[in-house]
Amino acid sequence: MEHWLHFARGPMFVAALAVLGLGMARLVLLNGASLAVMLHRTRSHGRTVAWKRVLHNTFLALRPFPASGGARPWYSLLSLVFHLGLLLTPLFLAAHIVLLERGFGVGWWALDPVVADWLTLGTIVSALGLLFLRVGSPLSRAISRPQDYFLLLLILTPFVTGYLAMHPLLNPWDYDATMLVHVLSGNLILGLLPFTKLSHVALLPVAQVFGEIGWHLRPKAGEFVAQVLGKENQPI
Amino acid sequence: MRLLTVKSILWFFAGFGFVVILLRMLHGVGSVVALNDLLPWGLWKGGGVVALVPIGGAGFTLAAFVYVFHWRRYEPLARAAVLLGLMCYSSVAIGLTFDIGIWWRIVFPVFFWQFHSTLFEIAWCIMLYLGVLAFEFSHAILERLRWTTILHLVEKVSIVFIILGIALSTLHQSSLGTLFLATPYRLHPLWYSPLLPLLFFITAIGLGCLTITWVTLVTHWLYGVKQPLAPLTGLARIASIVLGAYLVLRLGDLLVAGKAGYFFTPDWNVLNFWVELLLSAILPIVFLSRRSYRESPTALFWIATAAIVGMSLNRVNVAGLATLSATQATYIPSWAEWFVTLGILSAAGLVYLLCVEHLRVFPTIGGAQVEGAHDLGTIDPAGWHTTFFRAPFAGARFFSAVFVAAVGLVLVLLPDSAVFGARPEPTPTRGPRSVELQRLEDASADLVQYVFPIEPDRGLETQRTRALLLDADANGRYVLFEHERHGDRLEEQGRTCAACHHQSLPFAQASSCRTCHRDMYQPTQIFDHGAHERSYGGNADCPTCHTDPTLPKTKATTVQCKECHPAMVETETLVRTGAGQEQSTLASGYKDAMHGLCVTCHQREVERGSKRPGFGECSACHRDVPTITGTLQRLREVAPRSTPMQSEGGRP
Amino acid sequence: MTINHMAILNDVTKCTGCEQCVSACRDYNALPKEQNWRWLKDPHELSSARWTTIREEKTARGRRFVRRQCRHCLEPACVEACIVGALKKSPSGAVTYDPELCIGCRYCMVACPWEIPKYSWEDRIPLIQKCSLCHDRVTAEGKVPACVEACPHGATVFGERTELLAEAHRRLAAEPERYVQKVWGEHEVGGTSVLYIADFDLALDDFATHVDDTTPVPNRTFRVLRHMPSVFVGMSAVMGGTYWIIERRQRLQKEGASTGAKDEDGTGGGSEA
Repeated sequence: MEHWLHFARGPMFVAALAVLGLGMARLVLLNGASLAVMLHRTRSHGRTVAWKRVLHNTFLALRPFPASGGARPWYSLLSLVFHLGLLLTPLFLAAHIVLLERGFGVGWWALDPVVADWLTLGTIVSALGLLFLRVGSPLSRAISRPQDYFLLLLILTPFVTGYLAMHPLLNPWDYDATMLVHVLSGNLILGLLPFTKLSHVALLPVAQVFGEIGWHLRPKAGEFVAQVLGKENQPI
Repeated sequence: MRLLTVKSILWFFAGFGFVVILLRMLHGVGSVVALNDLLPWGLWKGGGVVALVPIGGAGFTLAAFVYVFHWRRYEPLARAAVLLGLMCYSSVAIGLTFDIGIWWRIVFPVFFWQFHSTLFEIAWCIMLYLGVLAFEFSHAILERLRWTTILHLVEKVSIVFIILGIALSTLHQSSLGTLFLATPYRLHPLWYSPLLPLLFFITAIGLGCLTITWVTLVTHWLYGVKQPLAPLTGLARIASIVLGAYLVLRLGDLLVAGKAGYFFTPDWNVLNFWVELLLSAILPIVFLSRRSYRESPTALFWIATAAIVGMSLNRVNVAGLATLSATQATYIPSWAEWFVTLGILSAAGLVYLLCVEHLRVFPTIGGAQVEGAHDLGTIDPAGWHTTFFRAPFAGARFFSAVFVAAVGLVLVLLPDSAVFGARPEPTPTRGPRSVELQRLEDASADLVQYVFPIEPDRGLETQRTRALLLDADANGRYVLFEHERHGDRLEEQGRTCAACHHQSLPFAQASSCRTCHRDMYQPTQIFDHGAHERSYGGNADCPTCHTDPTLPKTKATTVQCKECHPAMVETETLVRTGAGQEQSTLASGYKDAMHGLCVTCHQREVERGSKRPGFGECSACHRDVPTITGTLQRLREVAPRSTPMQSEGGRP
Repeated sequence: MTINHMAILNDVTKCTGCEQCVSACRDYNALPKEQNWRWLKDPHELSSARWTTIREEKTARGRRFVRRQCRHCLEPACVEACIVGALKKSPSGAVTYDPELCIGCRYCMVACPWEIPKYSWEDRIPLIQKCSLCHDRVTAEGKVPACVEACPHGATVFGERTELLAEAHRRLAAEPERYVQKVWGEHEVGGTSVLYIADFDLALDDFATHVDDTTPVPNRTFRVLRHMPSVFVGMSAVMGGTYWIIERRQRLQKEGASTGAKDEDGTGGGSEA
């Protein structure tokens, strides 16, 4: 067990980081290039991108609560808590920073352990809430892919095991086993980040541009819509 | 689809090589290779340089055939051969850069000239020839860029460069053999020969014909184009003649030198010799002499493969494999070494295919064939592979994902020493030795003594006995193990045989010495037996500390640390010694360590203004000892983090 | 002390294997701590942390101890091999090493007939490690090498090579029944600056075919290497000539064909195989 833990914390973590770094670089390069090609095509079709609207939409998408209060306020709230915990806890947990300092010689400011505890609990609860909302709403369920459930549960794992590892009295399992699951699931998240929808970490700023070009400025998009609606020869 | 599969595999290996090269730059060459002092040249030099240079020999061979001898039949292959040479020599240059210990000094031979060194000559030849190859291949690039004026200029002077390239190749192909003329004692007699330079040069020509054949066949297969058989058949004929000459020279040389006696001795070197000769020369000669085999692409492919493998084996043998029996070295290339070699070759293969697709390398392979080979047919828009195979940049999407996956996988597969740098292994303990000794017993003084030389009479009752000698401090210096005395001592401590035997160890082993005598095996923070031993001059001065040689060398019978290091004893210590205990010597070091562990964080918390009451006071930890009062400031004064170990007493 | 081709004479019959030379060498050259690296076969052998060592030999006359160190050959293979000239034979007799020049190609390790140069594989910037015959200590400080100074039994002595050879032969002549009548290092690979006399047949190298011939290793490579300029010129001339002849013949044929003359060759192809 100790050997496996050492392996997961050592070479496997380095591997996960390498995949994360290179995978993100790959995403940025590929998307940058795709964007350039798409913009070129758009321009050659005599259309222009409404950059103002794109920028506006990007900020709108970043806003935790929609202006109207949102159709699903609970969802918005849970999502906010979930994302806060997800970003802050792993990056600023004191124990993680100690490990990083020991391994790579770099460290930074750490969260107060009490705050970290509450953030972790908040993340767990909100993740469960999000899962419940996804399963509970027929509309959400209909558009959910297997990876939507899998990733949510995968993200939940290191938080639960991490909390148990920090509170041995609550932990029904062996410490090393808990830790191994914690590290393995954490590594898996890092490794999968650039290949799943989790990549919105890096691609958030350009997501709206793609939407804009892909949907609104697709050559002959209007004709397709008309075709689908059965109003082919009517003026748009 | 077959092109995509092959390209994916190449990208995968390129990822492997990329990671190992980065790690090698980070931690040094020793952390990734399995080389040792007895075999300083391994796979990277033998396979990546000495074997790859003759594979790139296709460049000068075909250049001579087409441009000097005007054998127009081979013209369709000339450019491909030059590109093959360029790829091989670039791989050699890159491989060499990472093989040498200090990679950024690869340019030193340019500045520090050493005319007597064979390696110096080879380095310059390869460097210049790489330039010549780049010049020769610039035709294809200029053609594509349509820079016709420069192209005409280049074509005018190109024959000068071609002849220069042939002369340079003659020099370095043969000099690779000269390199190993310096190893008469290492290299097995079946390979060592004064003719090595000549043999290396001849085989480079023969192998050159077959490598370009192989590459042509494989490239045409990849793009689904019919192979141009006419030039290949001709090359096969030439190859069989050249290899025939090589076989005659090689065997003749061995016979003349009187080494025929080795031919049929049962020895793995001899087996290696015959396998090598069979693959590299005999099989190709036999098969290529028949017209039907020369005209069959399948047969040509397998014969060329055998020749390339066999000739590479020849180079690897000369460069190291055939020296193993003379030096008694062991060497199995590490995975990391394979990954780098494969990675560099894969990257070269990818660049080769890139050139084939975008430049006129083969007149038979152009835009239409390339597009045909890349056609994936219809893709299910809902399938998983749309994530990767989706325009634009379908290829880049897929291959980069393969590359990243390979990077992750190789980091998991590599051993710790490659990922984090080499660490020394624990010193091995040698097995025990049973010896005959003389046991002297002095009943009056309750003394038992064992002596090696049998001394006649010391007024003591003597008795012959067998005793175990153990490699106690794991450096090959044996000490006596007295089973009886261990039994007595354990009994005094109220422990049973189970202290050493019948523990829950695998195979019911007895526990090792280090279970109890930790300080001798593990240099700890407190005591390093090895360092003391070395500073006192090896085993000459054991009595410095183990003053009475008749007593077992335990902590109790040994000079205490404080006698040499008086500063270790804390005079103003806050840690109370237990009842009946002498003031501890080791405890001060332990105390420092414990305080160092806690105080650092406590101090930081207090400096940052912790709101917890009493966090900086001694009583924060020493809760049950009312006499310990004060604050952290005082604690740090009393217990500085490291007590200097002054050797005030010096050696007693 | 004059520093004119100095040498070391090891009298194997006098060595007791106390390893004082090993300790002295380690201290004077400030060698790193000896550790059990995975590439070391035997921690007691020469390594990057041990420039001299004592090897125990079991002979018919009992245990004997042979000190191993760089032989400082008169015509060193390593110096000839070195691609940048980091290894040099100094006039004082020592083969010295310049770590600032070394690129780490390790050809010296391959070429050495005695397997002496060792590599510090553990370092990020690894270097060749071998005995320097205490070159700086001898030339600048005027002392004898640390190992010689440390030897309590006079088993290893330092002096001019010619004098030591004479001394060795004097000892062989004085006690012919004690010594094998041979000075190891007098003629092997052209002679070395570390000489041995012993009472049994020494094997100073680890090879199956022992180093016993007197050809200096550099001669073996330079015999070929010195012809390289002429090979280069010759090959260029042959290739240039061939090109010129065939080119001219083809041009003439083409001209002949265009003027309607009879083309005897017919193929227009040259001398294809």
